[in-house]
Amino acid sequence: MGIDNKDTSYDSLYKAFEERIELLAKLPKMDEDNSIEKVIKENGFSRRDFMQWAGMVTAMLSLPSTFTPLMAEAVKVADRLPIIWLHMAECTGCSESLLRSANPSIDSLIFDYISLEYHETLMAASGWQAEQNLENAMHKYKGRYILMVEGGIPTGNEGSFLTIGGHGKKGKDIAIDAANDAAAIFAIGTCSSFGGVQAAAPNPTGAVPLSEVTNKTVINVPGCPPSEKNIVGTLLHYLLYGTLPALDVFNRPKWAYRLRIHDLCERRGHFDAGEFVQQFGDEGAKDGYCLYKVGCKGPYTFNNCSKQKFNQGTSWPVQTGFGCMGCSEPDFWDTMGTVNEPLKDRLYHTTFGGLGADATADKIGIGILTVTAIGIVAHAAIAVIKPPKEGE
Amino acid sequence: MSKRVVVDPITRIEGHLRAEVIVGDDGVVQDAFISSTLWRGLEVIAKGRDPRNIPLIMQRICGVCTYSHYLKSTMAIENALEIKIPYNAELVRTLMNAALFMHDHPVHFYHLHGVDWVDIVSALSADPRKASELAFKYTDNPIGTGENVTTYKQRDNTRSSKRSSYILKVT
Repeated sequence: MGIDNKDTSYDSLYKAFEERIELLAKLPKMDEDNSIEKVIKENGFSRRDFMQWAGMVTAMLSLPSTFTPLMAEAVKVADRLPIIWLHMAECTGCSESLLRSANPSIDSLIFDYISLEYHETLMAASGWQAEQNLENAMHKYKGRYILMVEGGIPTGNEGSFLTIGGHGKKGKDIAIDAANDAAAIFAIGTCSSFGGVQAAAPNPTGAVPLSEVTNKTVINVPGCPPSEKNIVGTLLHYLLYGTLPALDVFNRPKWAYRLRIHDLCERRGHFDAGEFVQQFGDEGAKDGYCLYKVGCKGPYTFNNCSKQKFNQGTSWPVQTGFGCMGCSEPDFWDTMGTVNEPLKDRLYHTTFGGLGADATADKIGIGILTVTAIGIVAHAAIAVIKPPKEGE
Repeated sequence: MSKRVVVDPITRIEGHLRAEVIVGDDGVVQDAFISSTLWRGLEVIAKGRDPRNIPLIMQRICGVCTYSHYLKSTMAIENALEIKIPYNAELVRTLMNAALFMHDHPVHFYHLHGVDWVDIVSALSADPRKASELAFKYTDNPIGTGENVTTYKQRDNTRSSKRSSYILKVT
């Protein structure tokens, strides 16, 4: 008794959010006739669905549930923030992750609703009109727009591996120019966050992450592809806070990339019990045992896949019976080894190489994980000698 | 004087594409060039790697046709190593490819390149029967034309009667 339950820090945060939403609401709308209520209704969602979704996003961003109505309000003003989405050396998989769902999810509807000024896969214009759209948007919303970049930036051969537009402007220069006048910069996907597949050895095009061509802060939202929740969540986080989120050593938002796949995994119990899939298609695979020994890189990967999942929350790689390949870690194509084999002794090399395969979300965690990693290998080795129960 | 028209970037596709067209004074296209303005060198990256990793790398060629490159890369490896896959694997692959096919076509038609050729809004007021009739002008066996089940049967009857009359003539 006598304890004041009122959390003053949340109170002030709530006030700050309210003020920010008020401020954003004063900015001009993209389309006067459009509203989030209309978009939601037209696509067959009820207000209840929408509020449920808002509650889910609130929880995902580690905010108390009392913030849910505020989240719904924030989404309403989401069309005030102009967004420019650039495609560099990429495969469009990140855009697809967000947009390609069996039924449009609320996440993808939010993307229809926001003021997307330039997105090569979605815009009606082509050719010089497209080029002009980009220039206009950058000029009109100078210092106000959010820049989202998908794809690595080729810098080899003076950046000539990628040119866009009638004048053959280099991808690198477009990215630099767009970053200069952006209010916030998000690198969507592993390619723009860390270089991605084209930066894998021997990196023939000299592909680098976006953060290496601009000296402004870049928030990395890695994943190959990242889930739609992480993309939309990063956007809404910025919308609410107006500042950059708490970031880990690789500039990933902590609310999404704080925890290891291994620690959030639904098969973790089998790992702890020493129950491993020894080979795809065996009895263990049928029983949903741990996939570490058939190459799961969950112990070295930080992401929230098992919580947020993909395809509208249907599934994620480990749930389907195939190990994590470590796609949200820097240089994972080179440091994570063969996809169907555990890292084993190569572990030490990557840990001290500091290339990220084993590095943790926080610097403090590095030492701890090294111990864990050795433990993982030892644990798996014991399980070889003592195979899971036989003679069922 | 002929005119050179450049369309770059071509939007609503995966990747980066540039088209150049030379148009004569009479408005007739004399020549046309297409170039992909992005090179990533995945072929170079694939060299010397464990073949088990290659399909995942090649899958990153395109995030719109998610399964196609994965499948073909796997088949290329099997071809090189002379691996024969079990019948069940073939079935699973066929199912996955069919799923991609069903997903991919609506996406391309309504979301990506279809927008270049079709006024999607007026598609709502289209008459499926007329569209079906139109389709039969160009092929005997159109797919998914709305009214096609009945019309196809009718058509099939007339076609078989035509064929029988043709056979009669020959004999």
